[in-house]
Amino acid sequence: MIANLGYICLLLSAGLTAIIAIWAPLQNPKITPHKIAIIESLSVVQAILVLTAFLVLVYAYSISDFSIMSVALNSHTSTPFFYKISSVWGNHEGSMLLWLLVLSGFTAVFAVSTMQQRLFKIRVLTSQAWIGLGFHLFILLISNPFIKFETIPLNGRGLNPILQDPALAFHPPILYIGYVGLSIAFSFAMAGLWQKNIDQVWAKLLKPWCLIAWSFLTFGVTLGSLWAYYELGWGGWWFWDPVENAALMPWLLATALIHSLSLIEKQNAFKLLTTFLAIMSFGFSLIGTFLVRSGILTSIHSFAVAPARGQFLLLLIMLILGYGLTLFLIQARFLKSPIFATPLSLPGTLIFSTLILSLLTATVFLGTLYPLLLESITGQQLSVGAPYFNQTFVPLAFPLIVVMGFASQLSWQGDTLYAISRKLQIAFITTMITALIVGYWQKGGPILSIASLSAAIWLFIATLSGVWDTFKEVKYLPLTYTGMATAHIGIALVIMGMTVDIFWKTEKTQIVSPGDQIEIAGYTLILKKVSLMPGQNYQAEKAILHLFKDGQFQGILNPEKRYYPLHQVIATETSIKTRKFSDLYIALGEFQGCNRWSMRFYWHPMVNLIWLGGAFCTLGGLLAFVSRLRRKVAV
Amino acid sequence: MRILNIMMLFIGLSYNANADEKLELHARQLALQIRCPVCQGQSIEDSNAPLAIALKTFILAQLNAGQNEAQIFNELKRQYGTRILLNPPFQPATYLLWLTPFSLAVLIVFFLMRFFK
Repeated sequence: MIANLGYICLLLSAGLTAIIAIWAPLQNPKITPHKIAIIESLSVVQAILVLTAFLVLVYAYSISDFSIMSVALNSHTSTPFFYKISSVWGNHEGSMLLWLLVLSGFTAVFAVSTMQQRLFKIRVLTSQAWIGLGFHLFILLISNPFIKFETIPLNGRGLNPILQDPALAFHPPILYIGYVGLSIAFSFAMAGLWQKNIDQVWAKLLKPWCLIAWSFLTFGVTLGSLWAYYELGWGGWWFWDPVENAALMPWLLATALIHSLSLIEKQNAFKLLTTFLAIMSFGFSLIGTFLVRSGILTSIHSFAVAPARGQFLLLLIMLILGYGLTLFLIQARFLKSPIFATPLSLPGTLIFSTLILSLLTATVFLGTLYPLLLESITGQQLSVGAPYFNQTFVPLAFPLIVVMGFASQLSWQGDTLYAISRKLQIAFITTMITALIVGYWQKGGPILSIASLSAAIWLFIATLSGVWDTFKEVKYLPLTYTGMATAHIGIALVIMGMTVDIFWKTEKTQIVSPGDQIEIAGYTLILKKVSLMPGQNYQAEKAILHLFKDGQFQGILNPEKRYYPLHQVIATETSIKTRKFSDLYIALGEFQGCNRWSMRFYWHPMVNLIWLGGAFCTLGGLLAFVSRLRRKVAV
Repeated sequence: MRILNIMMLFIGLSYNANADEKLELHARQLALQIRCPVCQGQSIEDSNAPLAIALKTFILAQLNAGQNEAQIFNELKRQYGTRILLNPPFQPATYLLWLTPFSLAVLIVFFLMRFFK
């Protein structure tokens, strides 16, 4: 019954989207305010319909209505309530509905935003409607979350236990806000190309949308990495897994886009690449959605392999991107804009960063898809894993970090080498000292540890010195500048955390029984006991360890292994004690018989800087976003 | 197969007792470059699957026996196929993979040099 309501809402919404998609592009510059108001309200009503459909699905999950197939396949009466709700998007159908909801939400917010360029706004709404129509069809035809069972099963199959986790419950909605927010950038490019009008105003209007999408994308990627770290049980935070890459690629391009938009905004230049980036950053969001949703790259994130879905999604993406790129090629000559910049100027570094970020995206793209392409062309099988990306991505990203340090002190007009070296001398000296200390301490050690730690320190100190000098000059900190500095400091922290953890972590795998003492990184752990504990929908084996340092009691750690009978899956729940920014990390391994367990102990130094840095980046993006909103109000 | 793995495990353990730290570190570096055949996309160093553990001990044992990197990788490749190497070898089929990023980088440098002239 209730399923029908959801389905009808989606049908109506698809109808409205089709009306906008066909009617709106027929409008010409003589469009009346009346018609504009109708198109705007249609967009809002359409979003409300999708929201209703989504809430119906949420309701069906919350009451465990197993007459709906998607609920029965992905939820269970014993699933905790919180995870009943997050199961809505923990599966293919629900997650695509969430995708559509976010798209409609962005479209609606854009429709109600005030804007003088009325016709331009209608053009943007047109593009949004066409994207929306495609996804409506996809959901209604082959990804319908409201399909019903003929005979209602007694109980459901339950949520994949590995997804039963708070960080992963929020991860998809946040990531989708980032992914789908970039659709506005795509539609801006479409509207701008159509009207042959991409200028400073265009960039100014687009920037806040990109900033909010970027912030959420950053936050989503950070959450995903944090989840992998504590849930997967071996303390890694980035695996270059295809699905991680699927989120990294749009993030890299969105980063490039934010920076190159400034060039249009300030100098009315660099339009060609910026427009291309606006198209491609959403393009990569779509490709990312496809990679994850089609199950083409089997990995832990892929839920199911259903070829029809994959093919439909691929077709949809090819249509959207194909249209975008064709329009771009046709109109490209209108985008030619002269640009003047010296290497030692803000525009110089912006151009450099944009190009490097694009290069990095291309590298990740190539590495992720190469095995697939090679196998389909020559039949040859091959893996492209972390070592490839460490040898290509990392060295290519290095110059970017160095240049980012300069960016905080450079001006739009350009500076002399003398002036800039005066301003950055403290940062330069600190970096040299760091390199010497680390080099001495590591006895020359892996050159990468010295180089990347020095680069992080360089970026950190150079950015801070920029903040200090700006503050001295104007006696306050402009919000935009603060946002930039916060995000850049975030990147410095991320690199510090990654480097220190990679090169100085310690790990131990030991077979232990109650009463045993384990020494790691100056800490002593005593295993008290391992006992069986029932959970809401699992059975847990829980170890209790007491932590001591210098004879002082520091706390208790409880690593667990959970057995989920419904899925017959064992999931590890690691136990982590954070000391400053470092983690003592314990995972319970296999039972070895005779009261003995295998256990893994890790010391992850400074690892929390990675997520702290991610939080800084997110905050920086939000600050820049807020500064835009305030400026808009002022105008 | 399984018996072989268990044997490897024991050989590994007996070596483990007097393996010096440097060798273990080397083994760990090699393990990072081997895909865990029964997991999804992780290296054997990042996995706790029984086969991953067995392969780790195999690598350590081979290093102890004086085998070098290439010999160990070749043996693993022979048993499990090329897919087991996370680090794609540099050969005609991967020229495009390895050379594209760096050629693009050269192109960017070239572009910037002309641009800033």
